[in-house]
Amino acid sequence: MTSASRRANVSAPTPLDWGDLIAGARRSIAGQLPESRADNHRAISTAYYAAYDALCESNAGVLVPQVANRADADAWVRVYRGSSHGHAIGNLKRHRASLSSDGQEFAKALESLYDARIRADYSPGSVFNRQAAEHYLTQAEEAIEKLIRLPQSERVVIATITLLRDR
Amino acid sequence: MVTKDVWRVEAPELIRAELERRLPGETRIISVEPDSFYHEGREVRYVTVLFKGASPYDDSRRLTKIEFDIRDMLWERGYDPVPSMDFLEEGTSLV
Repeated sequence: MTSASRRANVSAPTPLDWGDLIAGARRSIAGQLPESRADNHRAISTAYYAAYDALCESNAGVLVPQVANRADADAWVRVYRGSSHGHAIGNLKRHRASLSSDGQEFAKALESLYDARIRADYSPGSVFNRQAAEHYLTQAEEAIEKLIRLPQSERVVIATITLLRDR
Repeated sequence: MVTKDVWRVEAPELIRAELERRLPGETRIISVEPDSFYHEGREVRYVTVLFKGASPYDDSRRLTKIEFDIRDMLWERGYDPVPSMDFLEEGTSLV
């Protein structure tokens, strides 16, 4: 990398918009006749990914708030991609008591959505109807709104909980 | 930790009692059946709640609160992993 490219004006990467993900999932299940189990299950999977992506974007946004050059952009992406599903959910559960009421609600919703997504994607015994899919999309939407309304300081705490290992 | 055999007996009864206490009277719980499977080395426990009458999904916010409270109650009683709940209306058939 040249010094010129390091200085180049670079904007923050733009991951998929969680609102678009949820809106797309809602469109996919609206007005199905007959109702499609496959579409319902995909919508539940999307509800979880919208919430998880919102968490990743929040983490990157609070730990790398300014993206002015390529190194900043790389750091932003490194943080965005730095968490893993199991670690983030497990550590949020362990440290839930240290969060505000809305922070705790987000943590509970992420775990609930993850469990629903695993059942929707991998459990032949689970059958989700359209109302179930709508329910989880609403749960995701409300949880994400709680996350992004949290003060920056609490979102930093959540970033450290979901990204770093306890020692 | 509540063992595999014990959770299948106890958790459905606890969940059923709490749902019957908190869901509106028009919702009738027919059965609460436990099941589990393994995904990437982790046990995923869930119960299928077969209901009749008003759907628990009609009030999504209330259902979320009930789900979270039940999950917390089971976690505090030592259920790890905590079973999730699927709600299915009697006679549902999807393509």
